[in-house]
Amino acid sequence: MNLNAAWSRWWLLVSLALLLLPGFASPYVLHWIILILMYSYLGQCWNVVGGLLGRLSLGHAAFFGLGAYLSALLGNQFTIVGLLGSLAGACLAGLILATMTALLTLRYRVDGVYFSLFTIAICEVLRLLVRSTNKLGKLRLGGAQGLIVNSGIHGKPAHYYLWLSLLIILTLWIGYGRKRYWGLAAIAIRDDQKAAEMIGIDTFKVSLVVLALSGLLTGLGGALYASYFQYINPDEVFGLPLSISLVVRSVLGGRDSVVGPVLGSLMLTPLAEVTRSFVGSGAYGVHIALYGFSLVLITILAPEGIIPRLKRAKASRP
Amino acid sequence: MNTPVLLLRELRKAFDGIEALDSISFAIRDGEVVGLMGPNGAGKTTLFNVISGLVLPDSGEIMLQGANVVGLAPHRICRLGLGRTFQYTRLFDSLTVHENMVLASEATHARRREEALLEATRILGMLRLEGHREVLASALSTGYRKVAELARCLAGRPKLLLLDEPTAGLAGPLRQLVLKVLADYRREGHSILIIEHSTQTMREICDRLFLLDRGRLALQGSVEEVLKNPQTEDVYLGIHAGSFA
Repeated sequence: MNLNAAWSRWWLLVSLALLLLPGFASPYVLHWIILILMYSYLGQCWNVVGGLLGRLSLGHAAFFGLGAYLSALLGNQFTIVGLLGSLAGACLAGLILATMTALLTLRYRVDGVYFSLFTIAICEVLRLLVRSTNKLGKLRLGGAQGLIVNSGIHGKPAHYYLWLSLLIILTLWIGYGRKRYWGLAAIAIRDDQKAAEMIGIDTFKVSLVVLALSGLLTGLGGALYASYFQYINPDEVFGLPLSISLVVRSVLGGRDSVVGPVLGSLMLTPLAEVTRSFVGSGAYGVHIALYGFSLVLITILAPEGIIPRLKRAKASRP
Repeated sequence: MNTPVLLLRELRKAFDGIEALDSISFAIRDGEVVGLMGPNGAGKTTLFNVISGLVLPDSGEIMLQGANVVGLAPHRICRLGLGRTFQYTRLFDSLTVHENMVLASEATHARRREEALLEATRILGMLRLEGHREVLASALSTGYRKVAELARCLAGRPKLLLLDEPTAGLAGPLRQLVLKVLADYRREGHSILIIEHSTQTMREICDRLFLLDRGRLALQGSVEEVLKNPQTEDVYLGIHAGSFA
């Protein structure tokens, strides 16, 4: 009873702190918290495919970038669609691209490392296409120089609450869905696809829906990113480093954990800033090396991810 | 005349020119338990793979409860009433025993989650797995993995069970429990095709036996007829007649 009361009080305090944070955090701190929330959300989007379904996508930036560009274009040049229209467009773009990716890879059984390579290829094609296209008819894409985003949500507090809400909703939904049919079926496909077929799971349908959903949600993330930074360029939003960073966050936090991507982002996003702030100014590149060293250390100490490692340690305690 | 639950006609399958299944034809009726025996490489697992849809036959017919299932995806065949276990258990190791079963139930017949939960609880009780309900499949011992896989198979309420050595590695009481459950399942009108090497198990549970040899159905008949036939020893172990009596 006491423990439950203590937990309830703790959750209440955390909830209050989160709710009131924009009121007392500096713009610099709020910016970094928004980044943590953003990457946590994107990590969760990736983890639905990479963690639950077990398909290592290394090109999730394709959905992200497509969502960013489509929402920016709709907002800049078709102002009549409004904010919601831009966001819906971004979701649709992510959904369509992810569905096409899923149909091709599932139909032709592109699995394992070949699936990863395929996702990299899709992303790179999009990056190079956008990079080399300044204008598409009347649409100004900006090419390699990128695109200024004239529309969207303004102000850090608004973005903070938006990202926080999306992250909470998505995390709760994944936590709930993981224990229902679709979540269990995705995990079963990851563990043993043939056995999953043998017990009646339509693995094609489940995989397609999971991939499509992930694409839709990631596309939305791209749109909100564009709205926050008010500038996008193809090397950033379609870049391999972005795709890899989503994988790293989920894997370090724990792929088989609902909050793994959140923990991964909580650790890595400030780590990047700390190494850059304290060391980066002194010797160029050292902070990147330190960042990489930290990643290697975490991987050695917790190869399955931090959350599963902590669970294992707790279970083995007498 | 009752439609057989399983009817195979002239089933053929070759791998790189080697006939794994050569004109296999037989029928299994409602409530019948048929044993399938044969030496390693005889084609037993290939037969299971072809019936369950994991492998496409080169020619022939497979009728499951009157429906032609050749070319159907394994999950569709499963939903038509087929359940299967494997020689080396294939549980979903990241899920608990209970989750394995609920999933099987929801994938095949349960319209609501509550129905799947009830079904899982019932089968857990039947196979005395209540104590392992929340145990991850990866943490189970070999024997309990066998039982859990059977439980998951039963959760799908199949009309026909394809069981690959379901009692292999099971100690006395657990083995007896599995055989009792299978006998009860048969009494409810369901059918079983079981791969077994244990003559004791065959005698306890099978109505008929098929002997496979190099992809062909070499012998079929009652348990005693097949076990006492000298051809069985020649095919199976290559030792003198009398060992199976």
